[in-house]
Amino acid sequence: MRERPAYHGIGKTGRIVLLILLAVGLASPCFGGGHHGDKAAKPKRADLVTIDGMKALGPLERPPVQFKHDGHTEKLLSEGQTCAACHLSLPDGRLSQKFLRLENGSRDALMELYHEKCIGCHTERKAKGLATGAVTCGGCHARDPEYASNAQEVGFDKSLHWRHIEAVGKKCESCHHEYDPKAEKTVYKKGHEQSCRDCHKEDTETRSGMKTAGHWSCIGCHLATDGKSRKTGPVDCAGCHHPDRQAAVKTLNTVPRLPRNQPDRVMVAASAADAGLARMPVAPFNHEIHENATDTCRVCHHEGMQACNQCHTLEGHSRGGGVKLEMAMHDMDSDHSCVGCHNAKKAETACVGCHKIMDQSRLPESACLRCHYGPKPEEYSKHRLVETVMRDVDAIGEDAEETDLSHEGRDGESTWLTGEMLNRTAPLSFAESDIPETVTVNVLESQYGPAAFPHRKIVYSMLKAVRESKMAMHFHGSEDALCQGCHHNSPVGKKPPMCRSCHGQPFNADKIHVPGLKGAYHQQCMGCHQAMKIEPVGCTGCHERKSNPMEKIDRAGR
Amino acid sequence: MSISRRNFLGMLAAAGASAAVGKKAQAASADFTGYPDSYGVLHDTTLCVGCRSCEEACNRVNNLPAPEKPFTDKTVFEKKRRVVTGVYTVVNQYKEAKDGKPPIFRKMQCNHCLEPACANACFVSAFKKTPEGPVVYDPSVCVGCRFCLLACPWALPGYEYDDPFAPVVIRCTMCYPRILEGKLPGCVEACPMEALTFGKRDDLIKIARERIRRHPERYQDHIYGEHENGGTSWMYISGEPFDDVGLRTDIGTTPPPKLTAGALGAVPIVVGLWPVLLTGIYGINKRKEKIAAKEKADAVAKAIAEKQAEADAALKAEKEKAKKAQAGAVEKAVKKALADAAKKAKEENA
Repeated sequence: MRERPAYHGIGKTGRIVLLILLAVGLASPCFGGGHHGDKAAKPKRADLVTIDGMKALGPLERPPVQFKHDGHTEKLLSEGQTCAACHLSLPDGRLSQKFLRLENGSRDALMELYHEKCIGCHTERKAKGLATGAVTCGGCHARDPEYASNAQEVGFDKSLHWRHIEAVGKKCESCHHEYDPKAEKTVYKKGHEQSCRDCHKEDTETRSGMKTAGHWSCIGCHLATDGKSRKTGPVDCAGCHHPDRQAAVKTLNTVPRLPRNQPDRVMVAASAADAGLARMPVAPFNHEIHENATDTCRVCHHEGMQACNQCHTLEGHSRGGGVKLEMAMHDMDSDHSCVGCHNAKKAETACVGCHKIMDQSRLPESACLRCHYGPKPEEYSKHRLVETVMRDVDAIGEDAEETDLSHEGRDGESTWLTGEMLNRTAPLSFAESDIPETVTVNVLESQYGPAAFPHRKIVYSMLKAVRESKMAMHFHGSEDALCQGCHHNSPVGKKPPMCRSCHGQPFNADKIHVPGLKGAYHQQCMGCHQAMKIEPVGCTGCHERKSNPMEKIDRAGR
Repeated sequence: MSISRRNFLGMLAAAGASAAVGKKAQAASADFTGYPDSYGVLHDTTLCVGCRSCEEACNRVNNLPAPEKPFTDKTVFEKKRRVVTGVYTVVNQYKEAKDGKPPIFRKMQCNHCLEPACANACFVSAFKKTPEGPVVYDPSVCVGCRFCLLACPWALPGYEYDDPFAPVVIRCTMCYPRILEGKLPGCVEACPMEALTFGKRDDLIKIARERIRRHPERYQDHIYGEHENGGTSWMYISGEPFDDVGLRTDIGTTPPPKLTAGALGAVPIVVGLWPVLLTGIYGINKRKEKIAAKEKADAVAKAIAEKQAEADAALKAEKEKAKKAQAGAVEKAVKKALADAAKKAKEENA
């Protein structure tokens, strides 16, 4: 006899119950949204260490363990224990960053170590009646970890860097070093300091990666400093990695320039290796001003502190990731490039009103010479126009004279560069009487009355804003830059073409990209007001409503 | 509308033909990219300031009833609105002003698809895509089934649920009569920002592409409606993801008629050919039966005839026999009578 399906024996009622259960089971994913909600609402910690080192030695049998580092250190330190409770010392005295071992060993040994030490400690503490952790498998190996991480990367900005310089008594060698292959040890070379990341990339046998090196150096120094003789920094995870604690880090309002003998003003040009290939006049660059405007050297220089043209050659080199000098300077989307960073500035409230209507996908050809106003490349080598005031590290921050920059070049030759650069202002050669005070816009008047446009007031407020920023002054050095924010697509002059010379009826099939006059006025005026957060942005702020057109409508219905 | 027998047969034949070349017919549908030189409107939501001038103008040019709240009332943005009786278009607010960024508005109305789902779903052909661009609706033939409301992927048409007697579908006409007069649609004409651009659909795509090219920081790199639902005459460019301004992105680019072409292509086969086939089979069977019956009847008749003939022959033979016998008897009787008479005469003579 053939075997009956299992449900045959359960009767009709049973089958209905089964069906209902099945239906509920199928429908339950719809109600399962709550789980996702829980995930989003997980409490956050900045001290989470995922114990999954064994995955390098083979597939994991259980989910990785989420370890609360600060939770453990707080408890143990409060009970008088030290880091040695969990970390062994290396021969050179530093603490191993591994848990109770110096080397990883085999997979089984590693598993054995964690199980024995973690569960052992937890069990022991439980027996003593102390606060303790899990002793079962699932207690640590949770498929759905309890916390979400909010740890952020740590970096030195200028302010924090300077506070550390002062804390170590301006002894740069406290942190900075480089490897000397002849002496086979690390040495300090004054004036040659790089960012940590330049050498410390990934962990290798001979060199620690950024994370390992950072934890050794920072925590090691913080631990070694008792905080009494001089200030010290955090040793817990959250102290450096928690967003709130990062935000609470004291920031200096004025930070002296870093004493690395970097140039004050420099010519940005192709390197000597590219001699003969360069065509553009070089771009004089005020290094000092840009130092003040950025948080770190890395913003422009990546990890290394070399000159741009050492890696970015005219034709691209593997040292610079194949990125040509042109792209390195003009990439519109990069944080490292000149144009990328300046473009980001254009989005600021004071600038965006004019800049938002301009083509953001490329710079106009007229913009080239705003930066490339230096000597021709073939004359460049004669000038050697790099200016640096040699500064003594001990004098930094204390010597007010330091900021009084000499106009002497490094080779002692006087240059026109400094004068050229520092004397850039935003001139407006038009006399006040040449600038119409009010422009009345009434050509389209119908539902609304005329709009009185305070032309001169706007010109002078724009001029004021430009003069408040050295960068803006550099780039708005003539009337055309200033006036053409509104009077675009026509030559600059005291009497530019009227708006209606170009803008007329809307949707002209022959000029599909040119808005009609009404659209042009509203887009330009309201767009600027909106972007620069200038009142008014409503209709009646500019022109009065004459009548309600709805009143004229025949109410007879359809 | 009456259908003559000739028309009906013609339609049937066409349906049969289209079923036969179904694949080709579908390919032709995919290649349809709208009527050449048809008009459309490009809505640049980054320019919309939520002034509701378009709503006011729509109301005015379509001679619609006065709204409950005046068009200057901005409290309407507190909730999302859609078209209702007497309202062909609404502006909704999708994001409030935040962190110095202006609020986000979008005008909503019929998108005037190149191959409209509503027209596809309507079995009385109340909807028609005009070569000028607008999809027009004829309420005089509408039976109120509201399939069009269901068919529209954006659920854009409204319905006069408040009219118990003669409710009709509510939707934007793209001011078709005004376009024919060479005028702009009311909303487009009224928009102070030119957030609505009217023009040839091909030009609008060029305008949209140019704006996106010039301002990659301002726009999503997509023209909504260029391909959605097979393409629409109203298209949108936006700074926000389109899903965030109420324009669903899960519609796909297949024109609605193509979605049903396969199934509807089978209709002539099912509706047209099966009855013919079955009737044929029925007829053949019937004919077979008829022939069999006739053969049987013939056989019977033949048998009967044979028997009859036999019987007749027998009868005839009997009759002949009887006749002969009778004749013999008569002769005999006559002979006898003659003999008797002769005898009698002899006797008398004697």
